[in-house]
Amino acid sequence: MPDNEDTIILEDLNDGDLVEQMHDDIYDGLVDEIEQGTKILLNRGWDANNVLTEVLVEGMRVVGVDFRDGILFVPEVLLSANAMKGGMGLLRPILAQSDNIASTGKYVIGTVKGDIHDIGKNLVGMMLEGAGFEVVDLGINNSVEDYLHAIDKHQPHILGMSALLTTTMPYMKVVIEELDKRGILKQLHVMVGGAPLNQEFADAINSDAYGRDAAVSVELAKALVGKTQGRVLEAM
Amino acid sequence: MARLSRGGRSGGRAGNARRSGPAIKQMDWGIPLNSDMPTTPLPPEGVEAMHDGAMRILEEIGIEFLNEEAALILKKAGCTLNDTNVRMDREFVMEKVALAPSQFKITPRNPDKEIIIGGGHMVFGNVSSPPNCSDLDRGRRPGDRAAFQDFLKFTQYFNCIHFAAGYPVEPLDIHASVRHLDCLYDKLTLTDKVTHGYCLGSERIEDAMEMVRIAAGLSDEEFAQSPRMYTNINSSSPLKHDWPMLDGLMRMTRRGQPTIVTPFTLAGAMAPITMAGAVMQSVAEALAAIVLVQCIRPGTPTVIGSFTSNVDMKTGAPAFGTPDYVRATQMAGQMARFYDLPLRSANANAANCPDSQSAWESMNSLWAAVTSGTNVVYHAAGWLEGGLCASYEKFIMDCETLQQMIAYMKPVPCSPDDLAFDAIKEVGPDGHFFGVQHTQDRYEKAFYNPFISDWSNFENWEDGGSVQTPQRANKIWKKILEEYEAPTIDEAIKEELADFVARRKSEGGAPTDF
Repeated sequence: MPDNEDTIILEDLNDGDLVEQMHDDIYDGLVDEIEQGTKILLNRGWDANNVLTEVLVEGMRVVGVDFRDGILFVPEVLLSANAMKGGMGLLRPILAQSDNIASTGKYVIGTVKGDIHDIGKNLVGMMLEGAGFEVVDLGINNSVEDYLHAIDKHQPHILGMSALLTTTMPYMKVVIEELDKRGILKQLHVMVGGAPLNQEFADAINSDAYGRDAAVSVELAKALVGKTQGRVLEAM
Repeated sequence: MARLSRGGRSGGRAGNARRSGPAIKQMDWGIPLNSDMPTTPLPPEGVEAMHDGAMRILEEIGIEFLNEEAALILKKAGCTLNDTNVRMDREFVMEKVALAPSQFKITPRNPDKEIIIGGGHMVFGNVSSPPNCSDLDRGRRPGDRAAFQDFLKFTQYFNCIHFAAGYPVEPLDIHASVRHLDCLYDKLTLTDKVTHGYCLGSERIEDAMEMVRIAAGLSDEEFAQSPRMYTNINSSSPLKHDWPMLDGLMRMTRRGQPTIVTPFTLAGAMAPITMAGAVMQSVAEALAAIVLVQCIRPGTPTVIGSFTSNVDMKTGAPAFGTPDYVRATQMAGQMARFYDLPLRSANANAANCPDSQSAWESMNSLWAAVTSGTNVVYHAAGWLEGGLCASYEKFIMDCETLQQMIAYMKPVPCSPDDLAFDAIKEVGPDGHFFGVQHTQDRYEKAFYNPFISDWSNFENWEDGGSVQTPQRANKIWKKILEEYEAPTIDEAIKEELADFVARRKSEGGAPTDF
C-alpha cells in the first residue's frame, strides 16, 4: 500500500469521495476507518439507512463479488465483514429507533439435532454478517423446539439449517414439516446446507434454497430477502 | 549355446490361460511390509517440541469431552474436569499411552483374511462414507443399496483391499434407523474381510458388534478375547470429542475391540494454518481419546489417525494430496513412532472426476502413507470430491496404484543370481537379453504387470479406439461384477444374521425423529 494512503484525512473528503474511500476501506478491512467514516456521514446529516445501504452494504457487495470469483481469501473477507460490523454497531441503535430496516435481513442459523459439526455453518454465518445480515447463531444440535423458540424470539426472514451426517440431515424435513404445520413457512424462508446435501434433497424436503457453499449461500439469502420484501410490498 | 526351455509342453495356444481369464490378474492375498526408512521432516528436537506442545494442550487448554460418562471416567483416573473440559498431565498421558500395543491383529469371520496393524505392516481399506456415487454411464447420484453392494463386491474381489472399512457409499434409500442393520448384513455376507462399525449412536455400534460376533460364530467371551472388528472415531476439531463417538469408543473398548482415533484437523479452518501446529493439535486430540481407552480397558489396541490437510483459503473447502498434506502425514508418522502407536492415514483427493488431478493427488496421498510409515490406509480406493463421492472407475484406478505400491514394497533381492554377472557375460556387447535363459526363467514375474496402464505405442492405442484410463476402468469394473463370487458362509449363520436383522428392525433399530 502506498504511504500516502495512510495520510488520507476522511474529514477533508467530500461526501462522494468519502463514500468511495469507505468502499475501499471495507475492501481493505479497516474497522477504525469505517467507524470514523460512519460517524462523519452521520454528523453531516446522512440518514442511517442510507449509510447502511449505500456505503456498508454496497462496500460488502463488491467484497462478495471478489470472494465469489476467488480473488479474495476467507481471512480477508472476514476482516471486511469485521469493518462493516464496526459501522453497523454505530448505525443499529439509530435504525432501531426508526421504522428503517436495521439490516439486510435477519437470519437464524444452526446445525440440526444429533449433529455437532459447525465449521461450514460458522463460515456461512460470518459471510452473511458480512453481507449485512443480522445473524443469530443457535450453534449445534438443535431440536425442532430450539428452532421454533428462536423463530418466535427473533422473527427472522430466513432460517438456515446445516448437517454433515447422512443420519442427521433427514431431521431438516422434520423441522420444515413442523414449520409448515404451524403456518410459519408462509412468512419464513428456509435454507439448507452441508456436505452430504444436494439440490434434489433440498427440493424433496420443501426448503427454499440449497446453499452449496458460503458465497452462494449469501447470494441466495439476499435473493430470498428481496422476495420477502417484495411479498411485504404486495401485501401492502 | 545351451538349449533354452520354459519347462515343457503346456497345451499350445489352447492351453494358454492368458488368452481368456479373469478381469484382471490379481496379486496374491498378503499383508504388505513396508521396510523403507520413513521420511522425517522434523529433526529430533522438532519431535520433542511437538510432543511438549501437545502435552501443554492437554495440560493447559484441555479437551472437551461432550460425554459425561467419558469425562467422569477420566476424572476418576485423576484428570481435572471442569464442566466438559478435561485436562491431563503429561506423566499420566504417557503412562496410559504406553499401555496401547504397538502391533496387533484383527481376525474377521474368515481367519485367512486376518490383518496385522502396526510394525512395518500396511493395510488398505475401501473409501468410506460418501453420500454420493458415480460412474461414467450413470453419472453422479445419491448412494443406494445397489451401489453399496457393488462397492462391497469390489472390496471383496481385490486382494489389495485388506479390510472392509466404513460404508463405501451411504445407501440413502435405506432409512437411517435400520440402515446399519442392512449394511452390516451385506458387509458380512458379501465380504469375509475385517469390518468396521460406526460410532453413531449406542444401538448402531452394539448391533455391529453383535453381528460381527454372530458372523464369526463366536460366544460373547470369545468375541471379547481379541480384536474381531474395529471402529474409527473423529474428533470434532478443534479440541472436542462428541457424544456418539465417545459412547461408541467406550462400548467397543469394553468388549476389547480396537478404535482408530482420527482428528479432523484442516489447517486454517479447524486447526492452525501452520502444518506443524495442525499436527500438534491433532496429536493432542487423538491422545486424549486413546488415554480414555486405556483407562477403561488397559492394553486395548488403539491407532492414532492423521487426517491433517489444508483448506482452500479462498473458499474454506478442504484440499487433499497436497504437498502440505504429505508433510503433515510424515510428521504424524514421526509422532506415532514417538508414542509407539500404529498410524492411520488416507488416500484422499479433492478432484470431481477420475481425472489427472484425482490421480496425482491420490498418488501424493499414497506416497505420504508409504513415506510416513502409515499402517492403516483408509479410503484407499474409490474416493473423489474430498470424500463426497465414491467412484466406480476411481476404485479400479486406485487398486492399480495400490498394487503398484505393494509391488514397490517387495524386497529388492541382490543375490549373485539377481546381479546376473553370468547373463551379462553370456550376452556380451552384441546380443540382447530377451531370449537368454536368465530371462526365460524370470520374465513372467520379473516386473509388476499393470492391469489398467496402457503401454502400447500411439498408433496401436489409436487403433484400439484411443481409450483413456477411466474408460478402461469402466470396462474392468463391469467384468469384475460379473465375475464376483460371494465368500462362503455357513447357512445357519447367515440365517441367524438375517433373524437378528429382522428382530432389530421390528424393535426400531436405532431410533430417529423421522
